[in-house]
Amino acid sequence: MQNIILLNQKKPVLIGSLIVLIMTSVVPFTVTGDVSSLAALKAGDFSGVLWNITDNYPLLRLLPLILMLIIANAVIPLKKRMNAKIQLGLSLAAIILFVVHTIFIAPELRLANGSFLLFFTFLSLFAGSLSKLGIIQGDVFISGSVLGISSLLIIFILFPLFVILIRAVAVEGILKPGNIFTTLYNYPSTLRILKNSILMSVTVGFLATAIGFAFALIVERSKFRLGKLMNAFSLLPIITPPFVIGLAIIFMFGKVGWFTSGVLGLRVNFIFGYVGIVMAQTLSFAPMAYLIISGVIKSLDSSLEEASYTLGAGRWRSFRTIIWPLVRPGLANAFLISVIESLADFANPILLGGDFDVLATSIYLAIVGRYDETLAACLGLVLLSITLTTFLVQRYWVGKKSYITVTGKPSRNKRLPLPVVLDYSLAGLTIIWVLLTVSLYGSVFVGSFVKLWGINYEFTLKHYQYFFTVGLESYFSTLKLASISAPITAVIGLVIAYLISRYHFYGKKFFEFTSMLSFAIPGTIVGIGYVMAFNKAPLILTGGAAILIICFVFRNMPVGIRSGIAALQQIDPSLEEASITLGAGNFRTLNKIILPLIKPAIFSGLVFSFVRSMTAISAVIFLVSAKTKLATTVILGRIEGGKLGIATAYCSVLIVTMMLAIGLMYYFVNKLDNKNKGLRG
Amino acid sequence: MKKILLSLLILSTVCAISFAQEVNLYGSAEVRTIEYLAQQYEKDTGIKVNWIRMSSGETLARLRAEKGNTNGDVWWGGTTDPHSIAAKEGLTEKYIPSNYDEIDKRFRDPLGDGSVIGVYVGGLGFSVNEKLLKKLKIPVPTGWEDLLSPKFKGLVAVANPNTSGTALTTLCTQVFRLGEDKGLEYMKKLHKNIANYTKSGSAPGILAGRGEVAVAIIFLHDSVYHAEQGYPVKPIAPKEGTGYEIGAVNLIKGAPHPEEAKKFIDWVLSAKTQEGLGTVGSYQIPTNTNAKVPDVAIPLSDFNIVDYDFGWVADNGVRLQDRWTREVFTIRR
Repeated sequence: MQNIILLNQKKPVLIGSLIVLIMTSVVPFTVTGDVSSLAALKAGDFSGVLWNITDNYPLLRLLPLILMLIIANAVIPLKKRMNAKIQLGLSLAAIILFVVHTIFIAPELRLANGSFLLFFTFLSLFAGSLSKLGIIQGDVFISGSVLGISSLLIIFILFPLFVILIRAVAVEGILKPGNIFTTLYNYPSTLRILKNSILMSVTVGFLATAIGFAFALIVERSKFRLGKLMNAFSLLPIITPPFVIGLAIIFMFGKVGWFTSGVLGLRVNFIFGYVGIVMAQTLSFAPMAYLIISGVIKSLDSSLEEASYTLGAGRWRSFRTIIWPLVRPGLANAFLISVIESLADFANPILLGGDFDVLATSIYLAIVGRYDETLAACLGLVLLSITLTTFLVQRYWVGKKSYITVTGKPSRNKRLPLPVVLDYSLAGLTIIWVLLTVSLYGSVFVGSFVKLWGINYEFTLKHYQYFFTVGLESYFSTLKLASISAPITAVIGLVIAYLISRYHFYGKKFFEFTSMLSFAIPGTIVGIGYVMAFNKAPLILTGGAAILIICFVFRNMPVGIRSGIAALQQIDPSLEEASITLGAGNFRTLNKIILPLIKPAIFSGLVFSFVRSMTAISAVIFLVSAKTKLATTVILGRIEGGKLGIATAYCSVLIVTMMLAIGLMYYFVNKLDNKNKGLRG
Repeated sequence: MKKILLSLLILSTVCAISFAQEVNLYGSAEVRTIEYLAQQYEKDTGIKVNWIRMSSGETLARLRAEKGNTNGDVWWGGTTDPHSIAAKEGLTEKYIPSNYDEIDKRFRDPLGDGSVIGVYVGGLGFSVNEKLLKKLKIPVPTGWEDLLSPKFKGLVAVANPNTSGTALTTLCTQVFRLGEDKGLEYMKKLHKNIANYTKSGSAPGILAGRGEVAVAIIFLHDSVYHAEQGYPVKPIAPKEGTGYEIGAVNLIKGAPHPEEAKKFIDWVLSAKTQEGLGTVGSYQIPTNTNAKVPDVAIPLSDFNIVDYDFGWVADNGVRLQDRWTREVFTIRR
């Protein structure tokens, strides 16, 4: 009996290693020029296969040798745990050899699929022996995921940041940390940009939080039932391509905008600069603040307020002494997240900036206008240190300070009235907001049907005609890349969420932090980091679709993780424990027990990462290539060329596309929910 | 783990499959122009053109990043400076096209060493919204000094020289016209009248077109195009003399398709191609002496040009940007 189990455990190692061994003699370990591994394989070009390059890189011979030893080890039964220990040693040696060879011995060797295959094979073998020896809790699926995902996080999140840091301190090949300060000191705009960025983000933080709070109050507590309306409106910024709100503000409030000039008869020039950016960003980020704060207000137990009334306090006094202190941490959270979003925002400042330069745009302009990548890297570090500090404050200080009023007793979701004055003024604010949003989006929509905004308002379809001839290429390539990246994001996000919420392993804090980190890294920095890091051997990814997909996956991962964690919290771990006790592995448990229960969460994570990929601009602007164009960069080019009609038409098509995606999502999630309810009931 | 492996495999193999004959074009002019070139070249030769539009600065950054492993074959369009920096840094390769003799001697070699070849010339000037000026009862400006009148306060737009080649040309024009210190003095006075500095070089033209400002300092060919689009603007070449840009073309070093790239450069410099650009609203002046200047474009003979030294700009550009930022941009207005 014991033997059969042992054999069963060895079989995958044996078969897998054999397959990989055979594949290494077909799949190229390295490629040259702009040939992809697949193309080389198709053309029957075996010059890059491991066996053919060992003359130049003799150490690489050891890799297949180690693999053979592992196979031999899997065939020969030894004493208890001895096989696992040998496999552990061999695979670790191979991994170390691979990493050292790549980084120090042959950094000029460009890696291709064959090498990735070998690396991840050794990693899986290493993981398998770790779990067999009980060093990592759980089976090979858990240990493999931890190791695999950790190495991906290191390569695609930490390594680009490290490259930026090196670029900022390297002067003609020598590392001089002081170079950051001399560069920033010599650049005449540093202080002004820094002041502008802080001023802008703090203002936006306050305004977005205040408005978000007002919405949350009105939806959760007001006697006016505006919940459905607000929820619909809070989705808008998510599905809005960059530039739309900026363009709409120019159309509406510019010197010749239809509202300021047409309705009010003014000739004012206030939107280019601080005011315009703050307006656009507040409009974009207030709904997000609303979502954060409404979660807090929802969880307030109304019995506390009732107690306050019963004890004779008025509505104002109860609001001031009960609601306000309880929601303060939520507000701080919303404030800090808006600050990060504002600092990282690229589209609005580039469109409405005028003389008002901020960090996110200056990084881009340092490259574009001054051809100075060192300056860009230094400014990038400044921006990164501000967003990271904010992120750390949000996560480890404010994030933990929540006053939980859910006490185990069923909390009551009773709507207690707000003070009358507050109620009416909040309702007024909401109406103004809705009208403003409708007219802004309306302007863009109308703008896509008129000949020349501001001059000639005759109806035309020529912008759409243009879209349906020339624009389709970038539209479909964007759709394709977003659709490929969304499921990958969802799967990796779910696995990370599962590992974080269910398992304990060495380095978990680091793992968790790094996977959420990409939220705090502004897109511009990701973009230049990827260009600097993945343009040279050993890892050349630029110029194709792969780098865009990877960029989408790692930038949107926090979305997938968050929805995964939230969904997993709703499931009692005892279900999984039962499954594992009954003999199912971790993968099988995840697949058969958890997945069906959290399908809606996965699906919404899928759609949101799709939508975020469709609207990404700041990172991808550096990564698009002649063969892969993206919608947002095409729109930016059109705006720069003054073709606002085409830009707005394209934006309208994108908005409709994403509305469809979100609509589909709600339809399916509801259906799944009903099905689940049916199962439970 | 299998899933991750699988997705990684998919990831690394999702690369477009190469066409038999193709050329990758990095274009730094308006999208419509690059689109036209791509379509026309495919029609003429059957070679597929993969193109991307990036500003000239972005392209330079891209070439630096891709050094030794570039995806681009040809870099077409955009002002001389980034092209010449690229040539100096060894990012591009010298290529003398077959029709070199047809190209105007003044523009075919702005650096004097054959490393950059001029494909078009554009004069700097004003795009003036006459309708708005008439309404405000301000006479139409005819030269640089006219713009300093207090009447133009808040009515002039130009891009920021830190971010736009057009604006750097504006700044250098004053330097070549008046000398460096006096040129900066001029920019200081002009600064008082500027409504706002834009990031992109041609953006002020749209502001003037919509009547947000009355005068935009842009390249005249853009103004001609805006007028044709229906904006009430008129191009004016300043009477004191003005600067100009030479749009350049370069063969990228290590181009994956060098033969197709050379063929493309020959083709793009031909009289027929250069004339054809006028049909999509690119009204720059062709450098091929056999090419007809578009009817609506302003021929070079119609304006004074200053003695514009591209070599000096390449060496002093960043220093001048910093001087402008310190001495002009930070003044309150």
